Amino acid sequence: MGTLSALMVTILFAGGLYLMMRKDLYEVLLGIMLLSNGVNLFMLSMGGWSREQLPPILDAEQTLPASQYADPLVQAFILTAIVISFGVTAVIVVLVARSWEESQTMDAAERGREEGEP
Amino acid sequence: MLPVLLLLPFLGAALFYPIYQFRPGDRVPRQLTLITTGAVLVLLAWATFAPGGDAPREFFAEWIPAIGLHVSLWLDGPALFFSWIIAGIGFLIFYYSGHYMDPKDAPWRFYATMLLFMGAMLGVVMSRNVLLMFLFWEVTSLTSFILIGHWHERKSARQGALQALIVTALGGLCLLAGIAGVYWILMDAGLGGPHLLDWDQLWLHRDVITSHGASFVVLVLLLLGAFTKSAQFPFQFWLPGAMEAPTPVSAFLHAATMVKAGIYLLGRLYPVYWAEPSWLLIVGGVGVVTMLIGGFMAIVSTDLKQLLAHSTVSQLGLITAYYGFGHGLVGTEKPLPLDLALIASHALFKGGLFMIVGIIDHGTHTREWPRLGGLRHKMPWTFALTLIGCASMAGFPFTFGFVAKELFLKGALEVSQVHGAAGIFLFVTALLASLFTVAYCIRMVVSPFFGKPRDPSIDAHEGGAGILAAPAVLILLTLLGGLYVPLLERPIATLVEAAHYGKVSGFTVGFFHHVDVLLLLAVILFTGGAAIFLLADRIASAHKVFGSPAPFRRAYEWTFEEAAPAFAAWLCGAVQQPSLQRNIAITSGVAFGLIGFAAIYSGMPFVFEFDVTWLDIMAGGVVIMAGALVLLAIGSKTFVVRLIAISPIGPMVALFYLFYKAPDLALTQILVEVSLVVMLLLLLFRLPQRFVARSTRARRIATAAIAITGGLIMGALTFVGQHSETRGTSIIPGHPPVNQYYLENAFYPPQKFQDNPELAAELNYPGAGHLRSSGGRNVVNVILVDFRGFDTLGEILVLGISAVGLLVLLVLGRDPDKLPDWRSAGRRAVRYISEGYDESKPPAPTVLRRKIGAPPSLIMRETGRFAPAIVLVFAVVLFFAGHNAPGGGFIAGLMSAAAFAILLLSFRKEDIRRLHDFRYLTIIPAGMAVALGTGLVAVAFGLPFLTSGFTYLDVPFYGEVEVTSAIGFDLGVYLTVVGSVILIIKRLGQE
Repeated sequence: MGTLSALMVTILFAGGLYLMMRKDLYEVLLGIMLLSNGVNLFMLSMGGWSREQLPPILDAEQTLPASQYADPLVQAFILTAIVISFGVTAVIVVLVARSWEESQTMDAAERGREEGEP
Repeated sequence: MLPVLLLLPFLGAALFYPIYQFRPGDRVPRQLTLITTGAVLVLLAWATFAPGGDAPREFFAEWIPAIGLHVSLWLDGPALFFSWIIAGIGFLIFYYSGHYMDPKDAPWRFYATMLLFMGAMLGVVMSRNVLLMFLFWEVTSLTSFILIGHWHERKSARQGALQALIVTALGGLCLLAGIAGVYWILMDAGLGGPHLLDWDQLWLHRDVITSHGASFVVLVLLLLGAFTKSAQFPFQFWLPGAMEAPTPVSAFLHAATMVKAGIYLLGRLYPVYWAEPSWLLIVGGVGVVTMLIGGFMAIVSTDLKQLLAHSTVSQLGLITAYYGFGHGLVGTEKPLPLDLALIASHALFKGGLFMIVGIIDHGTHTREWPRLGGLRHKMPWTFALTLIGCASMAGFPFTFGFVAKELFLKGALEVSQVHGAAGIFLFVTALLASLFTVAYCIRMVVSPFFGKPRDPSIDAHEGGAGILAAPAVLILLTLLGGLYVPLLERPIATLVEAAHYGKVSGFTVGFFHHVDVLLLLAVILFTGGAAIFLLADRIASAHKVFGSPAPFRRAYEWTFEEAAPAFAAWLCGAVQQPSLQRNIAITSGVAFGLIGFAAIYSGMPFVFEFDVTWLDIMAGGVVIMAGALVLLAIGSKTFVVRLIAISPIGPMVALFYLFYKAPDLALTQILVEVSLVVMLLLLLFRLPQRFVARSTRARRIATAAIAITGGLIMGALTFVGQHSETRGTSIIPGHPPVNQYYLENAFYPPQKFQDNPELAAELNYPGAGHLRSSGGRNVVNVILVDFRGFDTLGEILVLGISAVGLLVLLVLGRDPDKLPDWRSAGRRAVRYISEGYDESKPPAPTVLRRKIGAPPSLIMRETGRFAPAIVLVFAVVLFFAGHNAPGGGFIAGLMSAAAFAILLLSFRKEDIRRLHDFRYLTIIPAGMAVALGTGLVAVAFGLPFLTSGFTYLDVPFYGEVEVTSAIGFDLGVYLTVVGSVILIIKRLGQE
């Protein structure tokens, strides 16, 4: 599983970075979405994996030691990270939409030139 | 009492803004400064004169034990002395400012900053803890920066302000390093306790500090802090530059108080270091050199204010040198007497003289003495005050300055007798500098006031009684102190005793009571000084011929005004390219390079598993599909195909969350994906069908290379990180790792375990024996709402802000004529948000329907009738289940938002008008208020913010039910999430 999640992280990061470095703002947006998924999965995998571990939901009468459960802290971090990246993505979505409305181009570089940047 | 005293000026400063808002242009601000300062003085008087010493003179509150920083305040001798100077002169300065500053030119922020400065300065001298003193020290630097740059439209003012800030801030950093060094030395010696960084502890452990190997370095760092602040050589150049400030600021900060902070620090360090040989050489040497430079520059200045500034540099050098000479008294074990007398005399005459220069400036509109002359007839009162002030500055008998000068010469003489060649060098330099002092004092009196008026265009007039009052008080005090000795002697003796923690027996202040070598020296000084004055014009012309080398100022300018900006410009140009793509490439290249290097360098082991199960096969399939989809998204040209390719990635990641036993994450991810896809669909309707940004093949290959390298590095890191040996250990020895702590403390033992601790211990129940717990079985949720509730509060705030920001972005700049006016756009957006929609206008068609051109499909409408209800019920269940099972506020919020989204999209607006027109924006602050309120309830009970409490209720027919206050917090989270997500989706769907 460790190998596979590493592969998944590779795909998400490589795809995300590639898209983010494109000129098309829509691609940049999709790239950011991929990248945030990659970061979340990366963070989760740092919590470690074992076949036997249980979800961090304690049993009412259970007597298991803490080491039997999956790391709850990374999960809590990622949960908020997911929601926040949703909020951030929403803002970028609006930026992309407004950018098109204002300048009728999706090319980030072209837009920069219009505004007088070199 | 002490905290109140200290907080008063800050409170006063805080009051300015609201007062100004309600009564702009009022005279209240000035009076507020006088009231605040008056209150400080009253408290000080109480602390000083309370019968029987009843007034508390110490205060301690723990703050950050880990770095030895505590709120430790005191009013010992020097603190009391300096507090009187600060508040007393502050009061006069505020009074003077009212007459000096044009009300239009002195907005409330001027007075507020002055008060802030006064509070910070009081903090410096009242701090018993050295680190606390440093904090206030920095505030004085910052407020000085703001005040010097008061007329910020002038380039020279900005330059002077920046120069002062950079020099003093660099010195501040040295001081901080020095304090850290002292702390380190003390810790190294095995000392500890909350008072470790208090001044008296430093004095107590002076042997530890001075005998340490790094002692010299620490001393130099501390001295750099003092020298930069007090404009000592080679940093003397910033003080004349600071004269761009309004005159009240110069008189207060750059003559009477702030520049004395360095001197104050020397006085505090003196008991620690006075016996060190380096102390005499560094402090004494720097002092006399500064004296000399300052004195010389004062003679060649033509601007009276500059003259005073250079003279301040010189006088500060004198006091510094005096501290250095203290070393000359080695063997007698006599603490330095009367350093405070020097400081007091300088503060009095220099503060007064600065204000007088302000009056001359007002009366003649110039400060250049070559243009002035014969003013004694037109400005008799100013002339009288200048005469007395300068007499004191020169050290003329019958003035306070004479006392100071005599003390200084006595110290210099002793040094020359004890320390051989070095001592004689110090003595001679000090004498020479004193000649200059006399010369520029004569200049100050003679040139503007005697002779004939040199410039006929100047129509001089005397200042009014109001503006003359403040300097008169200070100048008369210096005369009084010199004429009537006992008046001065007793308080100083008291303060000196208090300051040095011991009886200083048998000292008398020598006032002209015997003809000895000191008096002879004084006579020499006055004749020599007069001679130098007569030669001053030649000196000045020679100075002009040779030019002003000012090597240190030049070095500063080269470093901070040429080299540093050039380097910064080059660096920014290199890494901050005007291209999004290149920026991302550079950023990710550096980041992944560093991460990869760290991973390889730390030698993390690569561990392969060859234990393939069905789960792995399934995950492998997911990975392959994800790869294919990403390639499709990259290769495709149409937006819709890209969207279709990308949208399954999220659920695939959710599958991985499940593999990692994270049900909450999987749920959240799936729900977020729903809203995300809806959002992207709505975006598609606003965008063109397809768009191709041209790029070359080489560019694509380079981009792919960077992306794949980055991906591989992160993948490798994921791989090795999972097997890191540091996992499951805590960086604090002896503590369980924090995740283990959360697991063991999340769930409170049920009643039967509480009643029977033995049983709990026998069963090895997690959390047995812990009092601190939160009563939830879903540890992730407990972390969110309880353990790390503060984090969550911040996170919902971010979500709310992004929703509001998005709203503003959508409304902004619709009117092309008003595009650049951000303020009006913001106001428009706020009005739009707060007033909702204009009901009189016909309802705008949603983008969806305009594009499709028809009402929502039958399936959508019919599903939309019952599906949202089911989803909502499920959301409620998830919400309440959250504390003990997967679910909670975030998840329930996302789910409810999805239900509303279905409703909003599947019906015509007219059908669900009330639902549609609801102001979802109001839910966001409401949610945050609920979350915050839950946290504050705990505070009301005297518990830390966001502490959650709970109890078990016995419900008939059902059994034990847990009631927890964390549910309130979770409700706040829920409301914020619902409000934000619905708002985002709805607004995107609207035209």
